[in-house]
Amino acid sequence: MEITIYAVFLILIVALVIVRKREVKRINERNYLQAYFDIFKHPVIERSDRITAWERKSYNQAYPETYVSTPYSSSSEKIVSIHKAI
Amino acid sequence: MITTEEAYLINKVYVLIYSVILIYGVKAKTIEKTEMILLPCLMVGTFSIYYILQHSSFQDFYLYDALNCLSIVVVSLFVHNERRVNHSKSVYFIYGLLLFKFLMYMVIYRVRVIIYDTDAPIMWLINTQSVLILLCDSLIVLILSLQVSKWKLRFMQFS
Repeated sequence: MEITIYAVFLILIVALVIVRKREVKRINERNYLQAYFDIFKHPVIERSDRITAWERKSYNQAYPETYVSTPYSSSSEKIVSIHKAI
Repeated sequence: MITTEEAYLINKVYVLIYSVILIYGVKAKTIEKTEMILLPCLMVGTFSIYYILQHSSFQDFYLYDALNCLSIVVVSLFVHNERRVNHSKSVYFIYGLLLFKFLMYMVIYRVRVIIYDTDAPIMWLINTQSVLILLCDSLIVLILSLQVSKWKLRFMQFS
């Protein structure tokens, strides 16, 4: 009985870790989507520049074979495609 | 050391507080789903201690209490996963407190029921366990109350 309860306890901790990982993934996806819509809160002039930059990054991620590294771009950034996100 | 009558009284207070928070949550306009899932689990868990106190023997009492703590976390986790609701940090902290309670119950079960025959040499451990369990329960109620204080009732939108 006691060993069974300890086994359940260990399984529960593993389940908690797995659920937390899934949640973090879900939260990150939602944050990218939220960031896209947050662009529209800015003035129109700033908005167009930001959307262009966003689309360029997402295009580079969706088609990495056409990605050209520049001193200003960071390859380690994880950017989700707008089309995928929406 | 807490007597059975005191445990009944403390449990009544906790169930009452959980009920008030639950009714407030039902009436509130903006709520956090994650706390509203955890609340009924905690209520049922607290209420089931009555049943455990009445129907379990001394040998099984601490095991059932430990299982009670585990089952609260399991049910809450299952419902969160099923409804695709993200846990808040406070709920994770409450899970931690419940798991700590579980460990305390298992320690006292091993020491009091299996190793020692009398309570006299381990009175300090029993008292410490009682204090820690009470502290954990009070913290859970406090955290939930603080979270609930962020919710707004329906009529507050006009103010």
